[in-house]
Amino acid sequence: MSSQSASPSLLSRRFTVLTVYGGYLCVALVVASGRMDAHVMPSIQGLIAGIMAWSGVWILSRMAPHWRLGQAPDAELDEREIALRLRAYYLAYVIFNTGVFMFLVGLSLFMDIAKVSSVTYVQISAVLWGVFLYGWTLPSAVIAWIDRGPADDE
Amino acid sequence: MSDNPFTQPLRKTMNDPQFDWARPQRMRRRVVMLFLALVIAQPILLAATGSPLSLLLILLPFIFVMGTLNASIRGMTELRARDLDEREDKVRNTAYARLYWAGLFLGMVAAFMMSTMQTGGSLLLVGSGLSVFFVAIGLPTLWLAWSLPDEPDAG
Repeated sequence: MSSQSASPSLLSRRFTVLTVYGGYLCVALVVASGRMDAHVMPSIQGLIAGIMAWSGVWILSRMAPHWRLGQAPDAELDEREIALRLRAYYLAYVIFNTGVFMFLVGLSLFMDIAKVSSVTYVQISAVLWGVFLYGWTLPSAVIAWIDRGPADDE
Repeated sequence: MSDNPFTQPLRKTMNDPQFDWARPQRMRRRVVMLFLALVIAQPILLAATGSPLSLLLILLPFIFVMGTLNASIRGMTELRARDLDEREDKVRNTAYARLYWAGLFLGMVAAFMMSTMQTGGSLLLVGSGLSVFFVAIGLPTLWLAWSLPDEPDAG
């Protein structure tokens, strides 16, 4: 399998990753902040977060070669692609757990400053759908972000 | 070049012969068990004393155990890719790839347990969350320390 066939450019891949991840973060923050509470029922807000997360997965999976590179069995990849995939999983692991740490520190500070003492169903939904989106797609997104093609090895 | 582990490059510290005692597989596995004992003891101590300051009691042995674990596998999970040879880089990345979903799950569980701190969760629960988070971030190191075979030239 080659990741070079019909592959979007590095710039457009990075733009897609930033748009999807940044877009979900914005939606999650709006939903979790309670700004929609007076107008939209909590179950609908949870649904919005879910639809956004699935849309993000779908959009990222459109970067087909890099998505497959992150998910395909080893037998379908060449040596360079396997090495790239392993490195992406290493980076994704570090990024995800660093993200969890930053999230906890931010949450703790926010709840202290805003004097919040409880969390709502909508806030938990936004976080869970976020974990689903970022956790599932992060290795492929990292590959899409760092892969410069076989020319890099020469 | 100094032999002081605090001033020499990390790559040199991680390969320093002064840590040879920690490198046989049997010793590595003992240190892994010690790490697990510490993460089990931490929430119990926290709940028993009721004071976050008790975490300081765990901190010193924890730093020693984590540092020993890192040195026992020659810093494979600590060093940058350019400081590792091709084999070490591949072994390291393979471990992270294999443990990705487990690490993700543990990280999430830890986050939910620790986030109860703000909503009146018990110290035992919050401390357990912290322990699970330590395991999540240390999992690849623990895995490698447990599973890597003895080095060929180990006496």
